[in-house]
Amino acid sequence: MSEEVTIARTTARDDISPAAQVRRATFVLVGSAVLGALALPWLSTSYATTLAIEIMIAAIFASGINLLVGTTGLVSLGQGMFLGLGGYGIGIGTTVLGLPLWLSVPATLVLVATLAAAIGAVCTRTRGVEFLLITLAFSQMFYGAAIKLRLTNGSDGMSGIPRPDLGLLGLNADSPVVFYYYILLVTMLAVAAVWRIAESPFGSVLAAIRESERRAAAMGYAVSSYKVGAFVVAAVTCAVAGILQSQYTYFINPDSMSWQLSGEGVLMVIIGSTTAVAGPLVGAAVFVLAKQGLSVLTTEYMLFFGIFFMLVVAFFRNGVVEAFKSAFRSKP
Amino acid sequence: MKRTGILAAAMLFAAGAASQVALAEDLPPLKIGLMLPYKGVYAVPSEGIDRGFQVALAEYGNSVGGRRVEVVRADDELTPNVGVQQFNRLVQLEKVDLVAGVVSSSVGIAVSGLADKAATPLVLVNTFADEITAKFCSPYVARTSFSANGFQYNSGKYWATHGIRTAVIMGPDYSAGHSFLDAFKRGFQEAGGKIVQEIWTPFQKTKDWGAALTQASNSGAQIIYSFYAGAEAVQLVKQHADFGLREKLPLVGDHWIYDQLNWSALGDLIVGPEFITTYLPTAKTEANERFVARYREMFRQDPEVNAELGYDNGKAIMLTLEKLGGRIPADKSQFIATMRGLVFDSPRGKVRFNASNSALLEKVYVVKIKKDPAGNLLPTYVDEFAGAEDLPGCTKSF
Repeated sequence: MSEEVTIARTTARDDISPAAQVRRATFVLVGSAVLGALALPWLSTSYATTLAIEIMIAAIFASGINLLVGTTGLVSLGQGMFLGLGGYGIGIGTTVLGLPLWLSVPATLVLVATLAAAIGAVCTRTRGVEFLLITLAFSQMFYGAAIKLRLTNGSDGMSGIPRPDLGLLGLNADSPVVFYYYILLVTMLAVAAVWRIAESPFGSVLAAIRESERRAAAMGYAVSSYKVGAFVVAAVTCAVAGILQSQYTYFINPDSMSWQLSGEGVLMVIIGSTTAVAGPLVGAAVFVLAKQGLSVLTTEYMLFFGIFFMLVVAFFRNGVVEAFKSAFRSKP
Repeated sequence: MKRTGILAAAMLFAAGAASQVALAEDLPPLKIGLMLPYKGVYAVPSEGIDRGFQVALAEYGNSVGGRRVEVVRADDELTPNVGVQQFNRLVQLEKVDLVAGVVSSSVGIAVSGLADKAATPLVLVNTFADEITAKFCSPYVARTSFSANGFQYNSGKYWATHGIRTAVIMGPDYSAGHSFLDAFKRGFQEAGGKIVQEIWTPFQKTKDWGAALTQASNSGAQIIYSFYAGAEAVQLVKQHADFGLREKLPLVGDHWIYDQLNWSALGDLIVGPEFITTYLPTAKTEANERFVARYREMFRQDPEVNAELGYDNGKAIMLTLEKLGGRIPADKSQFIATMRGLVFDSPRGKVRFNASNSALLEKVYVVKIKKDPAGNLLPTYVDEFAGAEDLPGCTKSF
């Protein structure tokens, strides 16, 4: 990989603009990341595969949050509610109503989208700290419902959530390796979709709203509908993460809707970068690995994790990805 | 006489162990993952469980069938998602042969589903919620303590037949709280008692019981019957006293409300109230005296209920491993099946398992703490009753 990067750099020095240079390096990096991800189960231990699964699920979650935080400039502290709703959706669909998974998943996503449109219509009337608090309030409401309702089994949560039946392909999704590829596929699709949306004209309007909401409105865009749209897409993305999370652990409980989880998601976005596509991915990886690594070293890892986070914010003001990019640009 | 008996048994055991050493010399050590919430609300009880567990292993010289036994610790932080991560770490990275421990029922439910899929034996220490060995039962999961119903159902009957007609129940709003207090409620109501009010406080998030205690004192009940553990128990007992309710509306509960590990924090508040417990450190049985002696030797203090539960957990594992000659069978559910067949004398009494791998309680004591002239706190026997059977609900056959 280092060899390829060098090639990219030497050619770039001659006749290609710095922007193209970064683009090419990114292409190589993404390419090797995908190849590495494909080969991972053969190259490493089963535990690394499990960690990778956790990273990818976190990355989808963070991508959803980034569409609000990074692209649209709305900092939400309630995205955990959609993660939880995703898990509870298929939990109720499959274990209570007895529906097959292929029906439960789309039904859940449609329901989450509808609900997010309603919640988003209320929340996006506010901005800044108010937006943060109202999303937090909604998520606490759903948390409360999940912990109180008999249907969702209270704090026990719902267990027995099925993984996809891949019997037709002769595969068993209970196997970590098979499940890994399933997650990898969904992650690539989800991240690509979020990326396309952020790059689309729709995404450009969201960015315009982030930069100056008044100017965007003055240009004739229906700002509030765009914000609700971003809210819905973010919610559905988080719900996808929730579905995968509940399949990974075979269960869902109210903890998956906690505000701490929403906060962790925002942290991942900030660690990675709010402005780069790969930001949430890198942020999720750094978050999961740092937490895991520190917790193996010491039981007081939360303290060091806090320090680590402060260092990241202090030294990589725009996140790890942007820091990498600027380091690359400043090379002669 | 007794002494020579023990000595002879020890020598026989040593000879047996020595002969097995020769056989199994080249086998790698057995690894047991011990997952407990070492920090947070249940930090103190977890410490007790960990120590009891160590005592059980030390009894076997930390080896069985000639194989050394290693313990790998993990902290589940009382959170199911962290529990799942730590369980995966223990099984996949540390390659443990089985996982022991687990205090919170919520974490227990999450990891037992995982143990079932991963076909890894899971030997739960606490996780008293009835559904763990009922609705969520698995051939790979056993519990060495008891179920909420086993502990509290007959307690309800006991208090209802000992002069208490009305009660308020108060507890943490999560699976164990509901399981314990619902079991009490069933027994209490069946014996003619009346639950005037139910008060549930958010688990791990409550610091102030003012509102709950005001509601309770306005209810007109005779007692508050409650379950709390760890730091929450200390807070409640203190605030209950601050509200001046000790005479008017006594706080009745179990050995976690008045946990021995909290006595130093409670001071004289511990003297007086009656509560139920599964373990009497002063019990004059051989199993208990041996346990107390070894515990004192290792930790220079007296064991209490959490240590006893940890000991039972370790003891059941070691007895099972001993029966299997230090080898985990290829079909790992056979490990749990072997454990299910055990009957042994534990410090708390005779331990046996039911068909869905849940250990049963032989008896429950009612005790009261008295202070002797020298200022020592002594648990004093008041009464006892039998433990109840578990609730049905396990539909799997194994």
